[in-house]
Amino acid sequence: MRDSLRAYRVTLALGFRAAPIHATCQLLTGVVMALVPAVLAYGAKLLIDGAVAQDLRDALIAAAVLAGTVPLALVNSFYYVHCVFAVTERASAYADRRLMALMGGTDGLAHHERPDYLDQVQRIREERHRLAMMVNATAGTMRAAIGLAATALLLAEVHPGLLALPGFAVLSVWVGNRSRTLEIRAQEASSEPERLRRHLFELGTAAESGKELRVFGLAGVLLERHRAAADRVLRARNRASWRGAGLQALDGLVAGLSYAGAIAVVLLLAVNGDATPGDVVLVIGLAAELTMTVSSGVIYLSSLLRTVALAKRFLWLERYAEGSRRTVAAPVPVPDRLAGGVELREVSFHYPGTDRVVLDHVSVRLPAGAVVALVGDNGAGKTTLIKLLCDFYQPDHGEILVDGVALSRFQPGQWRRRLSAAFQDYARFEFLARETVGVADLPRIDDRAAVRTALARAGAAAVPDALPHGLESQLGAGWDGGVDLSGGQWQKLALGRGLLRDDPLLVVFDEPTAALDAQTEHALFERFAAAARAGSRHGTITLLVSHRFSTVRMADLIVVLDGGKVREVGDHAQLMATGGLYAELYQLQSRAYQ
Amino acid sequence: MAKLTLTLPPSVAGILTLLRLLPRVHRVAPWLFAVTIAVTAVLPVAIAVVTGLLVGSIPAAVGAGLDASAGRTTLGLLAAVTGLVVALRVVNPIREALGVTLGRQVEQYLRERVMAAVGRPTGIAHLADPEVLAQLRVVRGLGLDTNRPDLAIEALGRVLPAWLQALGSAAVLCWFHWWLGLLWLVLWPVLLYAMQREYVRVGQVGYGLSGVLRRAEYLRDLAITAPAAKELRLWGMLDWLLGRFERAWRSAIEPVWRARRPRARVVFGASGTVLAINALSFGLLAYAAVRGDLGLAALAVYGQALLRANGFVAFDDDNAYLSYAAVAVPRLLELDRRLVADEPTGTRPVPPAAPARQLRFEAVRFGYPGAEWVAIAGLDLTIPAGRSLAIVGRNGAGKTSLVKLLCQLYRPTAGRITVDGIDLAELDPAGWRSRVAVLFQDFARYELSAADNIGLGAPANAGDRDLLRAAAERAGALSLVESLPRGWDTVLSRGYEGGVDLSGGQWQRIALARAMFAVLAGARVLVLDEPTAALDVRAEAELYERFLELTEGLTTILISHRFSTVRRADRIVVLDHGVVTEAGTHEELLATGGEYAEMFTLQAARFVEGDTANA
Repeated sequence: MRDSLRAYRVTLALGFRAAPIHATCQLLTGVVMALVPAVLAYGAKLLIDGAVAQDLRDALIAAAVLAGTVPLALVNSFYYVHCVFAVTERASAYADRRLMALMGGTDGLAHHERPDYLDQVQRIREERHRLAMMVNATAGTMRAAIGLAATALLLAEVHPGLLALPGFAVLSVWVGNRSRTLEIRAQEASSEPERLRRHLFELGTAAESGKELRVFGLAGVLLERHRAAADRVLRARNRASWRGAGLQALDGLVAGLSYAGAIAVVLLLAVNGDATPGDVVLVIGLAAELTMTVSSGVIYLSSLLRTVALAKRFLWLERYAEGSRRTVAAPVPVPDRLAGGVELREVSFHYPGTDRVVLDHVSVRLPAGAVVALVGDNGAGKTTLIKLLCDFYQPDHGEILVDGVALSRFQPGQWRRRLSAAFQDYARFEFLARETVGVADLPRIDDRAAVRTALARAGAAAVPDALPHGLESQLGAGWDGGVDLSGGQWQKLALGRGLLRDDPLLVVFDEPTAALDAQTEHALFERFAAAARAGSRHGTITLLVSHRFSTVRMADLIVVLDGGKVREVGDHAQLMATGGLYAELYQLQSRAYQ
Repeated sequence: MAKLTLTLPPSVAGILTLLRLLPRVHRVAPWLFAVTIAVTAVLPVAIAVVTGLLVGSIPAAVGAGLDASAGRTTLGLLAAVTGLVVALRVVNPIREALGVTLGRQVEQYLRERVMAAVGRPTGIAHLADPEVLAQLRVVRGLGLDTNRPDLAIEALGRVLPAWLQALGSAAVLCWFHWWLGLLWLVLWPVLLYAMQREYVRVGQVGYGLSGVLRRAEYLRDLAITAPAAKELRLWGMLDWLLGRFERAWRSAIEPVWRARRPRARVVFGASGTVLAINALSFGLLAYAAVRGDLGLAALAVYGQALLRANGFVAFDDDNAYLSYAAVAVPRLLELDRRLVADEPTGTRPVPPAAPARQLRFEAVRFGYPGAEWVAIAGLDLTIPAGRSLAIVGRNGAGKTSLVKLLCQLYRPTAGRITVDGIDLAELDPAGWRSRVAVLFQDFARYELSAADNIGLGAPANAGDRDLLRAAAERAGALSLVESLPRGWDTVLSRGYEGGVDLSGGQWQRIALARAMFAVLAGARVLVLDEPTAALDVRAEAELYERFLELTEGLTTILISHRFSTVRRADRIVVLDHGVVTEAGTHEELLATGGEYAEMFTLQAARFVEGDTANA
């Protein structure tokens, strides 16, 4: 309960922070909106009573109240709706920024990789628009409550027994809630076919898959599958809608009868002279509005409850982000240059939420200034080792030492400032070409010379020249004037990104050349090795992951990983002499060149 | 009908377009929907009249008591009100459910139409067209959350009865003073139109800016999804992204805000008119009633009718949904029409054995639509049938463009491609493509079962398990498939029950198996674009050892940077800026000492030196 309250407060605050004036205005116009039906019903009563009493003054006052309230309600609802949009849009962007900060700002990656977190995170992503709805849900619920209270007050004034009418509303609330629950359950139950449907729609309409779709003649097949998935979704959701409608029709029957009962009561009172004809009109007007008020109240209340449920996930995310933030009691500054190197000491690791040990007591020393190659089959643990070195995860056991200082003693983020990397699964940033490289060193993102130098280092100097506006070309064909790059061109830009920073202590190349041609690769690694050996001022370690042994063999040190364990360490000559796994793999590949 | 819509205001025309879709999604439901709308529009008017009569009957009943005939009239009217109210309350949820389900079906119908339209053109040039992409975005339900046809149908089920009720109630007023009723009947649509138009204007502004909003969404998704997560942290990009997001969002939303800011002229013009007509009506009513020109029953009836005549709301989310849909739906259908008008394709049936002799590129030139640079500049290339050809060259040399032309995904700007002498452009594209199997560098990863992922190489044969096994076997993917938790039926995505995620190398094997499945189902041309990029040493070695077996009897085009595979091809060409600079067998090219030889020796030297060093 306390969690729910907090979740409510947090999401309501999203709206009020994003649009304080509009949110306040929405609540105020909401109060006016809630009172309008009661005022109109009361006005109609005054008109009838005035007419019956033949009192022109009273009747004209009643007419003025009615004639004035209607346009007032119109203006009020105009601004109310204006505020709904204004608040929702602003709160939505505000919530987006918050999510960006939470999901993009945590130090770790577990929320993107841990199976049990993925679902939470996915739900938050899919329903994030709901986070912006709390002000609206609150205003709507409040409107219903005020409307109900005003109605009850006026009814009680005619006869307390009429309070039974709002009492029957409890049934409507229950029915409304129940049919909402049915809808939500159907939605959740059909989320898998819906996901498939979206995926198929994406495949059927995306540029990348368009080629394969045509060559294999899949357009028709995908359309059929899309329909089948959509049918499953529609069937489940439509069934729930109809079951809800059935319940509501039953409720309508009860509500209709109770409405007639209320009129009968006030009629009896009127016939006995205990009520005026105006009171009958009042009750008719109030009873008619009551249903509307209750049903809209149910909708808003259940929207509010759903938002609270999502907000709890949001709180979880906040706590997760908070929890993954490491604080170091007495942080040690990251050295300006590496003197000794980086050492992994008995490092073991398994991904949180899984059982498999990915790294098993790995001990290895990466000397300062060295070019180190990491080899092994897919699944040997190379990428995981790199994630630990990048401080995306912390070892379960053992430690990583930088010049003898444990990585965990640096201020989080500081170590990463002195890293650089080009990953196999590099990002395709669809910015201007200059920015796509420049993000690696944001202070210099506008520095065209720096970007050109990095691209030259990556052997990619020619890439911008092939683009319509050179470095200032928009990348990504989906944007106005944007261009599509080939896989190789993207990879070269990613490599350029990895070579932009001037003073890294560790540079990681995780299979950056898979899509590059032999010439580029050759030139590239020749240069990397030369630069590294020329003794960089910072004792930079270059860590290479590659399946190409022509590249691997020139490393000063080769680390062979196998099943999460270090199998062999040495330079090419030593490892070949040992005749182990490395020699076997090397010979397998070199046969192609004999 | 078409002529009529031209003269209608855009909102009405758009809503009519939306309405015309209804009979296509269901035969009966739209008519039921119409009936329930009519019923829920008429019943409230009837209730207003009957309750008015009921109120009017009270004074008589007060005198006579409920047992007298006056009292019985009152009771009869009460029974009538009860019946009408119960009917209304029971029909309302039914109308609502019809609206919701029809709305879902319409949305589904629109999605299918768009999907079919996008899949229709033979080529893929339209998939890079920003206008097409912007329209696709609307269907995906992104962007302004109001852009949803399903909600518009739902809204119709609420707005139409409200409008009709108001009209009906205005009509009732004709009995009071015919001119007053007429005034309501005339003024009402004018007011409604003026207010609706505001929303359409806003809808159009919002629609026009969806491209800018997409920029903000892109930036947001970079931060909250996994693909860029590592680099985001490595480069410390978050604050920069947040700043950009803020700017992109503001530049997208601010014009919408400006357009939507309530315009005093409209708000106060409309409400002033409403005030005037209501003051007049209620004033007349009060005056007539007090003077005794109007009985209590008539006063009650007209009073109820007047209140209901005001019961139109033009400013709520239902109206907004309608207006947005009125803009979006016609444009989606326009996308459908536009993609129909694709250039004509060949119709000539593909000869049974083609290609039996050769594929030829004859002076082929090609540049991507809208791009200034030329991808292929006069390519002459003969590919003998039943043999393998490897294409090497630097990135951007035109290798992938060549494949796209061969698959008829684009047409050459000049020159032609022939299959056994027949111009490819004359051939029926579907027939030709059934002869071609391609493993694209950016192959698709279907979130479907392993069997589907492979079977989609030749959908007509997708159920043939033996063929699937054979294809997986040939591609070296059989043991992978068999090791999956649910075997062939395992969904290859963790997002589904019992599904698993594959690694890059594993996906590549599956994609290769898909291409092999197409081959087993009758494709005679096999194109492999970087088939080993994500494979480790053993897998790569395995693949090149099987290369001859894989390509036996096929016309194979291999694009690769890996000489281990390239050298096994019967013939190798070096491509540079879309032209062939060298051609020959591995040995011939080595002997020529050109670019290929240079590239190969560069690679080989590293191994050979190593071996001598160890010898």
